[in-house]
Amino acid sequence: MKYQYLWEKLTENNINLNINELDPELQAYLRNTTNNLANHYGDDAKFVFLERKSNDVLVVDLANVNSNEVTLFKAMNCSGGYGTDILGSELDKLADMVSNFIKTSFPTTDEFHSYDRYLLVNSILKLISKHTNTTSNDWEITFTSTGTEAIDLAMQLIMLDGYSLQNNINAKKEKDVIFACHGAWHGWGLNSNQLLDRKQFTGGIPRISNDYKVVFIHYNNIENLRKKFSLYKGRIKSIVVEGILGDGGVIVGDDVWWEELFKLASEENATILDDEIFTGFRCGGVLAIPKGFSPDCITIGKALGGSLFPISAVIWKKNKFNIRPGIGVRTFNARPFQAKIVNEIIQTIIDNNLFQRSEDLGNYFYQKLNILIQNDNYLFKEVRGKGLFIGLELSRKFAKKGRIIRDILLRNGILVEVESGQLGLHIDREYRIHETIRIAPPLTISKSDIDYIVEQIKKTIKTLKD
Amino acid sequence: MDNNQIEQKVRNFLLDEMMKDEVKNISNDDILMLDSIEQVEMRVFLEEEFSIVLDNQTEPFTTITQIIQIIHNN
Repeated sequence: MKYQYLWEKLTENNINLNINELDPELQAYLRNTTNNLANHYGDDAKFVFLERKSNDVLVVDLANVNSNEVTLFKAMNCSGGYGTDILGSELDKLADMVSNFIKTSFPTTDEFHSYDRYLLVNSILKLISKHTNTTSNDWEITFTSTGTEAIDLAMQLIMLDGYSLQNNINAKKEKDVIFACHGAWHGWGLNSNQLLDRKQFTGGIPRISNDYKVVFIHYNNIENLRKKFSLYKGRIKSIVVEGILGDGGVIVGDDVWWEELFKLASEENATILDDEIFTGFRCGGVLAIPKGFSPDCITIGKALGGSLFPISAVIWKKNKFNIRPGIGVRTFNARPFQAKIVNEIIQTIIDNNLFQRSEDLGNYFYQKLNILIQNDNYLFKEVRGKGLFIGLELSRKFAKKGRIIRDILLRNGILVEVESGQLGLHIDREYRIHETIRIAPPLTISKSDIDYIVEQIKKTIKTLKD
Repeated sequence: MDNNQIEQKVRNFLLDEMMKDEVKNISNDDILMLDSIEQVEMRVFLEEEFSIVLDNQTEPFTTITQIIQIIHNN
């Protein structure tokens, strides 16, 4: 390992080092980390991640870098890099295969077939059909790179539903309403941006309002759902919904709400797009949506590439959508190199029974955190989630201090991320959700790891009180 | 709307919408310490609540006094 000498210095939880003790290349970098990289979060990052060993990340804290001092510590990976890392330490076992894949894979395009992609399609559709109580032949699938591209393509399928290129007629013109959810995040592109409800994301970006009206519903709120379906009866073309509402505060839809959503959509002849880009593979199954429910279109991504590279998929019912020639062509459409690795990732999940593991460990984790909050709600007011996608909603005192809390948790040895919750003038008070700490560890995490994480959270709460 | 009413609206926004409890104990000239996302939220609030359009040259929001002044100027 490149930084073995630094791992060896970590005899305690964290150590302070004079920056001159580091190798010159690293010194120079730590003194100027930003370079010309765009800053998406407004404030400069205070940490540098150097290397992974098992489920730990070697971190440098730059808080005192201007005084020539840095703090070195290791943190347990509970974020998976926006949830992409589901295999964690199991990734090590793929390392030798990847080397061989590079030597034997060839570049191909959408215009030709490859056996590796054929195998990948089979394995994904087998999982999807089992979860949705359908057959593989009910579905068609294509691959994109990022999740944003997947949503973009899915949105185009929705918009093209009913349209004929031959006569330029939209047979479903009266269907001009698309439902999306308050607090949802579907990626950063012109199409996915239409599905967001916060001005800091949407301001200045053109809307599709000439052709469609995007109406926002409150996730897992059955009265609101019925009211909106009644209000826009006859006009609703599609409902875009996440398997679990992520950025809006990790809200899990209950079975009754999903049942009502599917019933109302069916009566309205509206399609359902289930965005599982974050939730797919990590919530006790291939999808977070309860088993037996069968959306018309599904997007998966993030975990699909095992944190190694972006690969996503759009999967749709053949009897609901179709893709005309020229639409959706991608440079990287599950090329053999990618397909081989993703096949191995899926096989690892199956061989290690990781879906069941994520459900069991998720329940264990959830119970421990629930007990913690029942005993002490100083920092967190509620725990929510499913499988190994867990959200800790911050209390009123820390409602908008998510990134500060994230940094403290990181310094205490656990790497988490922050969900925005649902705040702001556009959300009625009764529906507001504070910023929420997201815990999304690899599915290979152990019970003792979970015990460690909970202890570090307790330690963080104590530090904040002191 | 007079200065007191504007101040109350701004304070209510900081307290209720931006969850800045410290606003209860600060004067109009104390520094607010708004991060970049909060700067955007304040801008959106001023646009929606007071129907004012701020150009890109507007200085970052620092104090309640300065925010009231910006509202008056626009």
